[in-house]
Amino acid sequence: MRPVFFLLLILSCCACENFAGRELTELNNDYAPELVLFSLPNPQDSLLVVDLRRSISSLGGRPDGQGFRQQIPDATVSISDGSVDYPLRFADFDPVSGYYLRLDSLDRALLRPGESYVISAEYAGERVQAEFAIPLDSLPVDAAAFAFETETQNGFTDLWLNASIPNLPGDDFYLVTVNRDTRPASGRRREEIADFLRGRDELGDSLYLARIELFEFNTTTVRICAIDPLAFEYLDARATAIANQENIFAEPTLLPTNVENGRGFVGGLNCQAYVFVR
Amino acid sequence: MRLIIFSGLLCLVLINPLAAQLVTGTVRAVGSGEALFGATIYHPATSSGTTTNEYGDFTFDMVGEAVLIISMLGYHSDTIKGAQNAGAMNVELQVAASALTTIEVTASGRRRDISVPNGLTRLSLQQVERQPVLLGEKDIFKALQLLPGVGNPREGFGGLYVRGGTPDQNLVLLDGAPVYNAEHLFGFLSVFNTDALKSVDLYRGGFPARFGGRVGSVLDVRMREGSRTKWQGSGGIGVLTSRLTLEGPVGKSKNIGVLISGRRTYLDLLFNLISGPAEKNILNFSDFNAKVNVRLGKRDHFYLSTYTGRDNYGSATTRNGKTNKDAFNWGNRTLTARWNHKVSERAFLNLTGIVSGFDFRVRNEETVRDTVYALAYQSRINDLGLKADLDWYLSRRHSARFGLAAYRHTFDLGTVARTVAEEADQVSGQKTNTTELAMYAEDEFTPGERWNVRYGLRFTTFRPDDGSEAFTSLEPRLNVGYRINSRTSLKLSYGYASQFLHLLSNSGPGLPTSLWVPATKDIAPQRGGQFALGINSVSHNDYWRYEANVYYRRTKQLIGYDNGATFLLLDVLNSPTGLDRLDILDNITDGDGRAYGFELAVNYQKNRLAVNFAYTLARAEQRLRGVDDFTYFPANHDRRHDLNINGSYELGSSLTLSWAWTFGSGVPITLPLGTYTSPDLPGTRSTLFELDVFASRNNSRMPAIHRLDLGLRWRRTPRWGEAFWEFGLYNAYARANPFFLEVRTNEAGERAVYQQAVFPAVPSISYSFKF
Repeated sequence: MRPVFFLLLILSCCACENFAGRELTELNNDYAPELVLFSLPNPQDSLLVVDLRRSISSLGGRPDGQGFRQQIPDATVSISDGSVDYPLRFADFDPVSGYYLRLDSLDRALLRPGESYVISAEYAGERVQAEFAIPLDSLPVDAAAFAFETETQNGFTDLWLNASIPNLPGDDFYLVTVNRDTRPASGRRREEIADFLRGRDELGDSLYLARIELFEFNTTTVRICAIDPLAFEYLDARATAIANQENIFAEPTLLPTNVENGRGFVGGLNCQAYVFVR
Repeated sequence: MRLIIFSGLLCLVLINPLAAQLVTGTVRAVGSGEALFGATIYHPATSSGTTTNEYGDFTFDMVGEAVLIISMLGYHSDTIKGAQNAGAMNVELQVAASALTTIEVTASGRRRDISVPNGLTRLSLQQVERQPVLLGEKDIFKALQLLPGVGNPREGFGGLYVRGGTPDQNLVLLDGAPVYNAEHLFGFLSVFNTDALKSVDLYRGGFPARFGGRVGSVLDVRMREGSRTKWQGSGGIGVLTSRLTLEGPVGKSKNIGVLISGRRTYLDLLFNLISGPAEKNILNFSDFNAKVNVRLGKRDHFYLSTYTGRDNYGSATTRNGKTNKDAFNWGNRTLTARWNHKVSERAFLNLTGIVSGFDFRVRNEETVRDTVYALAYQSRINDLGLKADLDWYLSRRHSARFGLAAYRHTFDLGTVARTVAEEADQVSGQKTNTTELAMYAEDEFTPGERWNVRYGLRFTTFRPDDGSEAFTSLEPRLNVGYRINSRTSLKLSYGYASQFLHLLSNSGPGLPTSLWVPATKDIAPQRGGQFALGINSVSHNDYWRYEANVYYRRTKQLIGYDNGATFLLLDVLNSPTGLDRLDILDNITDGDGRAYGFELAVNYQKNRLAVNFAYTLARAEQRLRGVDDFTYFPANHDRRHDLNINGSYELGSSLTLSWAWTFGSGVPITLPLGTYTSPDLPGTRSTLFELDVFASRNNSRMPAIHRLDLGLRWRRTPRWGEAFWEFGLYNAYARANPFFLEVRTNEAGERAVYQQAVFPAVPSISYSFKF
């Protein structure tokens, strides 16, 4: 029996004592950081905005400086319609943070539904670019239907907006954004994604948007945008990845990209805007 | 048309009369009178033989010297001389007091039986009792995991991953009734109480045509019949569970035997002791088995068996006048009624009625000032089936089997209910009924002393009631054995099968949120084939046995998890507005799978020492639509090397030392390569998300695992029977084997990969008895 106990002793010495969590240094990766491009150009906007950052390895320290959390300020960013390159300038103040181009200072019709464009960025010898198209607006003008609903709780009355749009035959993809601005206007842009919708025949005649709360003393702008299916896929996957960040039982989410030599996504929108004042 | 041609060929082949002495009989265990299924009847004069059917019956055409050797794993063999004059023989085998047998089906030495199908393993339940396992809880799944070709990606848990397949691809049968979720405690234990079992057969591939409905393997579990001769019992008290089994005759006629068995955990009692009064935990499971066997005369036998088991997990907390309750519970139930009729000396008819079901419920409830807000999610599958099987011993060269089966599957998927102030609000539900019809024919053909050929064909139709098109499947099965010499044989098998039921679940440990859904026009049936080639050999002194196999399998239309898929539905439960759009099918995708590997088993047994060595070199890959551009990636359970060395040594007449050393190379895991930040919309500064960059699914691997488990069994013989004290030490040298990996921030403020281990060295003690 002595050899057995000796073997057990040797193996016990090799065993790891830390069961609660041991750092695995052998699993380091050799990931090379990439430029990350993010833009959702919309012909109805007065500004075209491009977000340019840099990815880092998932392991190791988090840089506080420019590139990861803040945008890269000194890159060369432009948009091309195939014949002319329009350079974008960088700004980091309200109402926008990123590379921008005032569409009305050039040609208002620069972004035209159904046409393709290329956004490119160069930084530190790296060049990334993404081609995108502005989708046709499939919704008839003023096709959205709205209804208001109030809820009273603890003496306060909340006002909610319920909205629906026609579910057109075939597959259609929509993005819904909400921008709330206080009165008088603060000048800050507080727009956020409110919903994604994918129209399918089996969903019936109407598509119902997630309900939106209308705050007092706010101007709420609701935009219902036709979106390219690939851009929808990216935003949908991104929302899934964010929702699953604390869910260890979820499958990992692989984010698609249309950025050559980089990450992120550039996808065209075509929006109808509705303004509500409470 | 193909079926008609096949039937014609089958009839032509079967007509092969031989002048021989017909020997029939039944093989039972001494004492209990339990019919022994799979006992080998060997005729040395012709090196031929047969095996008993599920009811212990056999029929054999004997030519030459009238000597038969009857043997069975775990029993002393018996030699019958003058068998031609014995009429209908009733053979009784004595249970081997020393069960130092391997867990492999290897007809030993000169009696090597080429008729055992390639890939079939019969577990020795005595061996299961001796194996050292976590917390001393004996379990057939844990024993099966020690076999080559059978793996498990999670330490301490019992899911069966056979030859690159997943647990949903295994057909698990209890007395012929399908068991849809064969796991307790999130996969920690199987639902099978070892005390109530008679036999456990695992077909790793090439299963006969009588089985169908799964593309992977078949686990055929049979319950004990219940003794018709005397009352006896067994039981045990362990760290996790206690169990009791009683069986015996009813009435004086000894025509009726019954068995009742129960098992329950008491984990919640322990948890509630350590948690405060504001928190109450439910954490338990229970099993109940019962069986009645009635002898209706010399030719008829009736069996009625049932199983019901349930897991209940939940917690309730009360703070600041608000009570939160979360609960998971799920359970299986089966009922099998079987009439066994001996039509003639050569034919046995079995009619079987089956009821089987599985359901799970997830409930989240919040009570504030007597108002209840609740969300419940549940899923059910219920089966009703009728089967007829005819065993027909045609001649010494042909033994045929025919069968018909009809099943009605009822699915109730994803019913979500909201209750406010006791008023139930049924939000959504989806019910589907399907009908499955199957017929099969098999023949065991023995063209000569060296050859054994089992071939068969199964035809199945599966029709949903919603009017959609029926699916059909024609499934050939082949198993060929060739005896090279008296000690070595070659075996080859091929099987093709279709699976009309899909299991949707996430890749976490056996969670109850697994949904069984039928094949539809959106989710086509899985279809797959497996080819295997093996060689078996035994040493001249019978101490050593060797078995090696190579296999290759393909699966089409397997179900996989889409990007970010989760079936925990936490987001839905937290956001009632999301309920309307809940579409389970949006979470899944389909694709193909392939797996291949090499298996080696070496068994040594001499006197008081038994050692089993099992090694598997394997690869299992999948490709899924919408994932990694439809290219193959390693499956979650793809373990390249799997090595098990286990055995036992009798230190004396009452002490047995057992051990099991396990090594497994790392299983795949998806780890992020990089990270970037992204605002909600370009140009906004309010919210910044951190998003991971993954190169591909399962792009990395966990570290390898290895572990030594030890057990010491002390047998006592009080006047009333036998008692056993068992001392176990799981993970004897305290190896921290990774259970899962995560990326988190270390003390230096940097992101790093951490492994989380679960089981340190875990001692256990248990007591069991038989009387």
